[in-house]
Amino acid sequence: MGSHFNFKNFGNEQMEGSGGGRPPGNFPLARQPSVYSLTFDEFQTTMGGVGKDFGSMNMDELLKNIWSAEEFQTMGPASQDVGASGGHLQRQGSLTLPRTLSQKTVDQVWRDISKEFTVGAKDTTGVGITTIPQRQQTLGEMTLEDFLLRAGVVREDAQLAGKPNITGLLGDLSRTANNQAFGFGYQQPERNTGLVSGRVLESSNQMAMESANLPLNVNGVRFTQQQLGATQTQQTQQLPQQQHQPLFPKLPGLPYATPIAIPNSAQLGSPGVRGGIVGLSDPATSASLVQNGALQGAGVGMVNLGAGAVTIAAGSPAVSSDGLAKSNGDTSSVSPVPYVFNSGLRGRKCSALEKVVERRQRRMIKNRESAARSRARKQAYTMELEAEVAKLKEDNQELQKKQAEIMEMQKNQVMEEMNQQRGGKRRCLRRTQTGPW
Amino acid sequence: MSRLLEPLAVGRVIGEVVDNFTPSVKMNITYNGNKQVCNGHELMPAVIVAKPRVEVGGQDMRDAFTLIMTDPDVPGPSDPYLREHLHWIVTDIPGTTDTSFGKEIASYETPKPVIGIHRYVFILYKQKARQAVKPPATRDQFNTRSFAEENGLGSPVAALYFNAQRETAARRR
Repeated sequence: MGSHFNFKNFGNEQMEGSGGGRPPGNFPLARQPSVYSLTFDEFQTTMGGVGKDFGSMNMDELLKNIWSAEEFQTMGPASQDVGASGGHLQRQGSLTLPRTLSQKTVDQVWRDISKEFTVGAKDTTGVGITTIPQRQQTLGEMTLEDFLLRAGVVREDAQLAGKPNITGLLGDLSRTANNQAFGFGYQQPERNTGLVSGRVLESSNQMAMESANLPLNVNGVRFTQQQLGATQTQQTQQLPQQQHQPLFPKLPGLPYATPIAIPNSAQLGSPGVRGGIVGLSDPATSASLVQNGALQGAGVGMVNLGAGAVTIAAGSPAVSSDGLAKSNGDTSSVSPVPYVFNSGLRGRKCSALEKVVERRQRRMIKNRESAARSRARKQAYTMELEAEVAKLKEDNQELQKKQAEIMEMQKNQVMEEMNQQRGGKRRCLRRTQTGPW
Repeated sequence: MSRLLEPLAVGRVIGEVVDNFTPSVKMNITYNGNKQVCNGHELMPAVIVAKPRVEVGGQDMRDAFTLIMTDPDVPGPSDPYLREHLHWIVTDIPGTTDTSFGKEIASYETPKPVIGIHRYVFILYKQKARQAVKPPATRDQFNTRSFAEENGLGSPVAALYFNAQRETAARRR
């Protein structure tokens, strides 16, 4: 699919952007680079008349600016109504950055990040180590992605249960997304939605997985499986009404949008969810985000992801990054794993999944062989026993026959003896003299 | 005589250790004076510590027989990458006698099964001439077929095997 292909490349591009040093990769379509891959300097120039120096800007404002920049970028390609509904969505709530961050200014956050780099150069993962040199730039040179990731807006959790599945699925779905801005972000949402469209149950499971895995700090909203399941069932009916649902309004142009949106909207129905979602989805940017991600509104999980994506993939990247980080210890030097989406995600998910599947298959084969050997042993034992029994029976018969014969012979001999004896006696009983009368 | 071969074939002795053959000589193997070895039967490790008494049939005392005992399931039956391990070789056994009249070119090594259920196989060959069998270089990675070929032993004339696992293994689950 063209959209798939595009997305994949876009994902590549995202990855490269987040990698920092990598040159832009395959770029089948002439797309605008994501806002997140811009450095602060570039972002500032892009924003043009924003004026305010980012350094003293509050984190909240920074994010808002980013989102508006993204919306600006994506307004063109994306459908307008979606953008509008997205905008509507965004205004529904307040941004819910991690509390620790929202109050800080960019400068403060940057100082913290720098401290991180200098103090703890040793990360647990190779990814961390390799990415540190990249980070040690001035704030201006750091890409927005990196900054937000480092700042903790995006938290890399360590929950990988089922992550590979999720990320892989997302990767597939993400292809359908056409929005460059949220390539990585959409990957997850799209994946979910795609799943939903295909198989509601599956997506719900995935979403459940994702929601379970989403770090709490992302938006404070955790969607339980029940929620997902419950909402999903309602999804099909609620789609038409919930076009403006945060995060996944239908994109007219996208085939997946419709079926996907349904699940999403349904899930968003729960107030808590919505609050969380809305909160995360900032106006303009989230709208566009949603649009693209909306392709497959995989429901709560997705929503979270979408919101996360909005807030620079706080949730989903964490999920996917976790998945990525874990599934591939040897990931490339791209530090923000969430950004290494499509190809990276799918590649990793594939190899991890494949390993698991392969291991399972090997175990199954070994078990089968062991069972076959056991059966052969049993059969050999039985055959041997049967052979022994047969032999013993034969021997027994022979012996008994022999015994009978011998008995017979003995009897005959005795008879003969007896006969002879009797005969002798008879002879002996002959009178030898007559009596005197 | 196929009745004698079936357990060997089903137990994969014929196939993994030797090729199909026609048994022509009787062989009786007894451990501890009372535990007779029957194909596929299990013997406890304590029983098989000392070498058994192997009675060889045949017609002529001038015939020389060679007995080989190997374990084709080392280190474990599910993955026997060290197949086989040589336990015992006795050559120049005169017909109608037993192994005590032969020459041990590889002394009896007590079987010590660790992983899984091992088969311990006795193969009897008829020698073409006396003192024609050379001791092998090593007990590991032994190959009965090739050893027989190298020493001109031809096809086996008798075979027996038993199963053994470690003392503490789960039995009769």
